[in-house]
Amino acid sequence: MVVAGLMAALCGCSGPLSTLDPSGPSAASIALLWWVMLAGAGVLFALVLTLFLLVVLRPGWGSRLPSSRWIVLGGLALPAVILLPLICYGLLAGERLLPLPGHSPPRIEAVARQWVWTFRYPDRGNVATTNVLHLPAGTPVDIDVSSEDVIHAFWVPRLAGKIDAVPGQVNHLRIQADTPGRYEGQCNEFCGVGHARMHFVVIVDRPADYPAALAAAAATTKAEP
Amino acid sequence: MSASVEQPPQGAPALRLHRQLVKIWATGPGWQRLAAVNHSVIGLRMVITSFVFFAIGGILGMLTRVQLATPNGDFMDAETYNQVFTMHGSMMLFLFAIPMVESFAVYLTPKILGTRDFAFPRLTAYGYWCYLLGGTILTVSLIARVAPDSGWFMYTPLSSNVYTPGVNADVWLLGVTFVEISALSLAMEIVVSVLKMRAPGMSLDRMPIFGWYILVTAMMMIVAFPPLILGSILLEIERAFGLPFFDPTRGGSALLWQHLFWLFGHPDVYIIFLPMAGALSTMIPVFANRPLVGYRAIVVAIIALAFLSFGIWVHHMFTVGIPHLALAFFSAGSAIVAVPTAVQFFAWLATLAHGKPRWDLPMLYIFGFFFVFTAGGLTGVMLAIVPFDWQAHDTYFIVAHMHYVVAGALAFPMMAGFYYWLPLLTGRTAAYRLAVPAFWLIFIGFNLTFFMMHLTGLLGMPRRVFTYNGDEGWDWLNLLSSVGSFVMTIGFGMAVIDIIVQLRFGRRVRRNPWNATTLEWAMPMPPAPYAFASIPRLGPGKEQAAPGQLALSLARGEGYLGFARNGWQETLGVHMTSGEPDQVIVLPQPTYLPLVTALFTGAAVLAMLFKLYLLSLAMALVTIGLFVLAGQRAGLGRDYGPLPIGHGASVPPHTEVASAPPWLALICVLVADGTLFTSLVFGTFYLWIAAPHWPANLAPEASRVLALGVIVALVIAAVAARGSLRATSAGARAQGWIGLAVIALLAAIAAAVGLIGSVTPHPHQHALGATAAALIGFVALHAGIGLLFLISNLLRIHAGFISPRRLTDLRLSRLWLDYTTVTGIIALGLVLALPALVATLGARP
Amino acid sequence: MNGRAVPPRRLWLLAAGFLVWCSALVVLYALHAIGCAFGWQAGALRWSLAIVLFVHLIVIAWMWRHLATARPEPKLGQAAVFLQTVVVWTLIAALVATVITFAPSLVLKTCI
Repeated sequence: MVVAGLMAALCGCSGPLSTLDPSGPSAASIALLWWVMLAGAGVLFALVLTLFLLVVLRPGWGSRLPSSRWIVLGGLALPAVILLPLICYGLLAGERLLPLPGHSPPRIEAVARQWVWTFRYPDRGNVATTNVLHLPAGTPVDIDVSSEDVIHAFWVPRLAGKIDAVPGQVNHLRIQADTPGRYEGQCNEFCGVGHARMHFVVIVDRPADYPAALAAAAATTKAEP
Repeated sequence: MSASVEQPPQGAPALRLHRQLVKIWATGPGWQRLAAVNHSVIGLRMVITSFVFFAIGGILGMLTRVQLATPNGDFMDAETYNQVFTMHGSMMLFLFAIPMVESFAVYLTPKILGTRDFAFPRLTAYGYWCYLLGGTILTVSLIARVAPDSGWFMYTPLSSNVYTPGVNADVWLLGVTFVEISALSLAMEIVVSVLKMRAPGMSLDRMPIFGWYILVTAMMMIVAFPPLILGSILLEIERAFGLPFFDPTRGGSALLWQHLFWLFGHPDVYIIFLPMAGALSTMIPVFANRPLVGYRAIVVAIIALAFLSFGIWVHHMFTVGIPHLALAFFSAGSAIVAVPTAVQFFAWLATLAHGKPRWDLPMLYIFGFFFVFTAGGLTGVMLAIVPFDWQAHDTYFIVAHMHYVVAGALAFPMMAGFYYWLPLLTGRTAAYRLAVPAFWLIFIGFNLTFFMMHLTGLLGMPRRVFTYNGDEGWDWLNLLSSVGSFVMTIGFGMAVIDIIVQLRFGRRVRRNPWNATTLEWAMPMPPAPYAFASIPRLGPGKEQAAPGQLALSLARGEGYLGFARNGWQETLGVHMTSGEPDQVIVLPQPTYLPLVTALFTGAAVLAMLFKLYLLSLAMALVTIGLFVLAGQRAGLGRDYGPLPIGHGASVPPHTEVASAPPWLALICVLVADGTLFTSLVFGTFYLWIAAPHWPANLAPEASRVLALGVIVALVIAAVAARGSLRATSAGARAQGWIGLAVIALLAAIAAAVGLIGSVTPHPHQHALGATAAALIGFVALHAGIGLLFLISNLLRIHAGFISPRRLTDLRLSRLWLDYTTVTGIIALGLVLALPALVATLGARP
Repeated sequence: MNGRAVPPRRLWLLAAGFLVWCSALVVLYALHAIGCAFGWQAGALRWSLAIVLFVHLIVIAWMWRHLATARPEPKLGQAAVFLQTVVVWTLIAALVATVITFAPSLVLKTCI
């Protein structure tokens, strides 16, 4: 988390939709994964290119190593050493981000249709907001994502990865925002001419302020037909 | 192009042989060019056509870059942008990438393997015309502003008639399917040709590595295309006739389309990569001045790659809500698919390390390939990791990755290949002062354009948006990408100019300018229509005459078939593993039939597009009739027995042997068709387990009596086909048996049609009925095609093409009817099992 | 001449190892989907996945053992030796791929 934040600050990677500027445990875990993989990829890339240039520009440079050794070391040993730990790390990290049972956080329904997001809060008297999602800070929330027409995708890059809104099924995404504030979300699956403008806003309130803020937002939604 | 043939260098025998063979093999002048069936002619046309579509697709890509260069760009509106990016993707993949790699295969494979042409020249021509016509339909739709606009991936339900009511999506479904027919027919022909048509003595272990790459790629195409063809057919049926397969409100599943699409889409990346890797594996040893290191390791690697690439399609679907454990299979698979690629990379590096590398133009592009493809491969491994993909999926990070992989895999080796093989075609070399700067512009422009997109994506820019606000931090990155795309385009422009200059003014080079060891250099430059005046034999040892010397001896007719006989276009067929000659293959002459057949196929597609279904059906029937007609002229009208082929050897013609090319071709067809059928069966199970609104309130039902009737009729037909084969080989009349089979098939079709009518719920109502109808329709269609086989048999028995020694036709019919019976039993069994399957759904929690 | 060549039928062996891998993918994926849809108990689902995986591993291992010990007939020449080597290595590759690809089914949470 700290590392990820530091890296984001260093590279100027902040932005309202930046995955490298995380503000929740899920996005932070993935950002860390990215920086680790970037470092590894950088080393490998340099290695392959250096080898290529050396063998071409310095004939005879690599000929002491038998050719079968080249293939076994580079083609089998090298990938094995890197890929196996990476796969394990990726799968375990992925599992920790899942909406695991046993711990049942508040639920919010996110319903997509061309090109509007409607959010319903069953735990809060089933009020609804349009294109604005209210979340309490510092606590996980499960978003039940579905669609009324074509496929969309629910994505708040600074908080978590995305999940598709598929008609006829409900997908679940566990999301948590660490600090109160305003975040941006967007549809991330091509859904027709309005796709580019299918944004929504995520307002994260302090837990104490959350009920009031949500009620106020729901009231304005009702005012708009 | 075929008329301008270089004079063979050696005196009278060579010149005389050249004249005789040209008379037999050459494509005629003027309008007769439309009748060309020669692989050199068609291959060259395909290269040029696919390059033209590359240019169009490139311009479309440039248009998107113009629109996105600045925030809130008003160069295009959303409707236009959606058509442009959809067509950019569709053209680059279906009209450029696949045909381009196929054109390399068509032009080079017979030459590298030391044979005169492909096994089915008329099919090559038909494939080309289908490709050209399908591509033209798509291009015209763009000009008419009714181009597909649902993305090149056509996700349902956005592409269904509810959300895309116009003709746009139909253009994609029909146009692309049309082009795929061509890809599939070429793939079958490549498999048969690589296995059966090589230089004598070229056993599998001595086949140039390019042959292995092309063989494996073609087999992948045979298995990869059918799922998408099935998906396109089902979606078109849903759009045109209202049968639900993907409509979630009527028991279909939106995700079924994604599974079918990516089951094709992912292997497709490797279908593009492998032939180019084959070109690299051919070029790198030449520039390293030593044989390729790790031949066997590479063969193992490409087989592994071919299979693994089929098992990772779900990595395009990590965010659709599949349980994590199932994603894990595909995540691990996507990571380890890097291993076979690494094996090839290090085999190439070892080849260079152990050789004496020299720089030349192709090596420059090979460097570009190493740079770009390594980067693309590494981001590919990142995307295989599920949580990272949850963030990066459908952002510009994917755009960057995909262009690094596809362009790295295709564009750079393709350019290397152009510069490497163009001297074969032109006898000239490139203008380095133009070619080298062109490379650097392409290389720098490419990296500027696409490297930036990694960061754009991580900053959250989704794909397929026609504009953005400007406060996201994406604007400078997008501007740089757009500038880069212009630099890259200038580079490609210069490369094209360079190639044109080379054709006219390039410096003349001697034969085999690169000191290669493969056989395509052992022929006149440019290649004659007959390719080899006589067919070389590979000696027993590793050593082999240099192609330059070999060329002279072959031109004098010192190899096999160094003569003209009966005006036949002859080449040798060999035993699949040992490479010993086992038949003389007599190829068909140039004919307009492929063009005419393709035109009628195109007419059927167009009529379908304009919703003139009866006309479309009529055109399809004419097309089928033309195929039967084409069959009438195939083969030889009498028994010949063993024919001398030179060097004291004699082998029978292909009509009188068991392992003739048509037999292998039918096996390929059945593998493709079997994949389609398997996809349909799995689609049915997928809907059962995963689609919403199952179980329906309506109990499914189909008449058991009719189903049983279909099966019995199919079994009778299959038995009768066996009878006809046995009767003919015993010298008796077979017409009675064939007549019985015809009657049985007609009965099967009638019963199947009745069965479709009796299906409940009605196919319009629910996916249950629709899939049942599709399964039964599959059986009826195959019975119908079986009828065509039998009609062709009757006609050809009458015309004297079938004898106790020439039994291929009857064996083909028998195999087809066996296949129809087996799939029929499975399909109807599944239809009858549907009620029980639906009943079990009640047990779900 | 055909008597002294590797029968073309044997070319299918090149695909044998990975066909088993494909079969494992299809069966495991389908079994998992069915188990989750019908709400099988986690333990039962896990065991059935494990059994399917091990059956596939045993099949590949058996083919490997069977083919690796068979000496290619010398009269069939270099092509036979080549095919033998390539087939054995595809089997090894398929075995490793099967372990890596499907081992997660033994560890991860079943239906989330």
